[in-house]
Amino acid sequence: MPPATGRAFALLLLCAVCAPAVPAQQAQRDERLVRYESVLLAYAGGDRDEALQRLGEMSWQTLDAAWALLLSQVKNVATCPNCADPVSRLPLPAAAMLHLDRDRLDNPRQFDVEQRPRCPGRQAQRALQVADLLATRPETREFARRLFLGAAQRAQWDACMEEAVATGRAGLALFPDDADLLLAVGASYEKWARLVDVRTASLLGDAARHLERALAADPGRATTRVHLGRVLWRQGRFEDARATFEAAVTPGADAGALYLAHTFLGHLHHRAGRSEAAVECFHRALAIAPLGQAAALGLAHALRLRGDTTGAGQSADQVLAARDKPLDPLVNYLADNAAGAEDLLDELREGTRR
Amino acid sequence: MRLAPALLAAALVAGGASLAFAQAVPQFSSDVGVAYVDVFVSDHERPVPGLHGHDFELRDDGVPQRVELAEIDAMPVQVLLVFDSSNSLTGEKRAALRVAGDLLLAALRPVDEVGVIAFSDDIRWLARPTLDRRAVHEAIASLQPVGATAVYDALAAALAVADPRGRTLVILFTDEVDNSSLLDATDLRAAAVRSSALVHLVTVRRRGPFVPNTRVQPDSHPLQEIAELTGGRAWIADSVANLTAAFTRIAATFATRYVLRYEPAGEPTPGWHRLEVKLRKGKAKVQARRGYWVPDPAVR
Repeated sequence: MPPATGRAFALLLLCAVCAPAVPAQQAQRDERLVRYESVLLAYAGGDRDEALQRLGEMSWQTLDAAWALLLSQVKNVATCPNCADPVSRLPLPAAAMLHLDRDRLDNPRQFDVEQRPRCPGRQAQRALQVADLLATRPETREFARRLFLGAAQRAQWDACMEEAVATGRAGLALFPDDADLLLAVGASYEKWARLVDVRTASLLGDAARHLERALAADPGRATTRVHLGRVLWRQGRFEDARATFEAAVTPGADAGALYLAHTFLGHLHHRAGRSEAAVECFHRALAIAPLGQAAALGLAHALRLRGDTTGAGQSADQVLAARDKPLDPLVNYLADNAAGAEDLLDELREGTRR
Repeated sequence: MRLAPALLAAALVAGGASLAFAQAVPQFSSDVGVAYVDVFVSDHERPVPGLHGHDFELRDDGVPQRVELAEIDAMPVQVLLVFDSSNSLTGEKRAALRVAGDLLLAALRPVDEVGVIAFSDDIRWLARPTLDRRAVHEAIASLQPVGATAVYDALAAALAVADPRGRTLVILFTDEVDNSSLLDATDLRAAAVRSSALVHLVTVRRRGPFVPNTRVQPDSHPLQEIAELTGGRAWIADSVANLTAAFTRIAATFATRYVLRYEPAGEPTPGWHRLEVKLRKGKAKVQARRGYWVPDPAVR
């Protein structure tokens, strides 16, 4: 199956429950729904490989029919008190993960990044439709929120920017003030603006708006301030960026965010010609992460431009000579805070086991 | 293989009274002022041998200079191989880099040191500058693909550790777009003009855009301008199979370069000084760095 385009992906997400109504009696005895439910139960029971294979063998005609039948059962619950609620009866969180896992098999991550990435496709859309349904029930609402977040972050990580934004925004339609989703969407717009030549100003504007909302929802999160500071910097709002980075430097803040705030402040000061302040900021970053590659090279660069060739060489050499350096927080930052996507999805997947 | 015009070299270094390059220092100061400029001359991609100092016309900030050829045999070169070892380093590319490394090593003189820096999102020495060719060969053979690509930071690191007392040739291989650097092209330009190192970029033409409207165009590279600023150039192979040809051309230039020596008149003023080098006669192409930087003592 060819992967859906980003725009098609977004449109489908806008219409999460868009299957035709089916009479309840038909739904209950339909062979296609029985097959689908059997696959869900196998996945939830731990037979994941088998379930994923069987799902892959089902035609989209069958899958869409089963989904329509299932939705009709959900609708009928309101008017039929004796009818079983499929949301309670079926392992629907497992269904969401099943579809997401099948999508990964259909669109595997490509490490040869010279190729266009394989972006989320139709199975991922179905997973989000299931999540949309789960969000209507208090007991599964948090699962749905985290699924939207994990799926959006996975798309970010894979540089599928339209899909990342569409997924995050579909989540925000259900959880409008969620700081995690707002950060994910804001960071996606930020990354998108880095990758393209066109619409950059518009994308940065969208990034800033979402990150400001994320900050309003959770003012204590330094990571959000770091992202917002970088966006403001790219918008040419240097003093706002500086103030935002400085506000991220608070006691108790996440060490990675603190390191980045100092490193970015150093880079900003350096670009503004404030050499001494730049060097001081890079040293502060290195006090947090002594083998921090970005800060050490930022320091080397600042020293070099001051004419301190020896100091620059020493700072760079220290980085080059270090073995088994921990991953610089800048790397995760540039992946737009999405490095934890697979961990989050793993956690959700494990939670679905019956 | 798309091999554009010529290659070459340029390092501008000012030294004391001695002509020996190893004793030179990389900046002008009030009491010393001997400059060296690496030059490569080619005619339709072929090196032009047998030139003399009086064949060259060199202008420093528009002022003609009296130049002579320096004896390059007495000038060791430090070569820094800065190789991309990110996820995109396929087996085919690794094999090509090993061949390329051996080609370069064979083209060097015994006095020339070679160091290897590998970069992905992690930048590290695989071999510090050494005369031990086997160690360098093994370092290149140990390249393993992993991680993202911090090409700007890697080049900045190489320029920072380049021997400030001598001539450094940086050969940067990357086949990917930067996605993990703190520094960017603006920073690298500033670093390049302050360095005496000469930078060659070797890359493979991309088969397709990573994302729509990607910043990188197939026939250019953001680092191309920086390489040319230092007197080097970008070598863009149209396939991995042709990568070794690019390295072969670079190696060939080692043996056919000129080093011009001159003494700038007066005390150099801080800042950027534009250099122009051309032949007095003929239409051969001259490649040299486009200028040099004199630091402002008051800034430190």
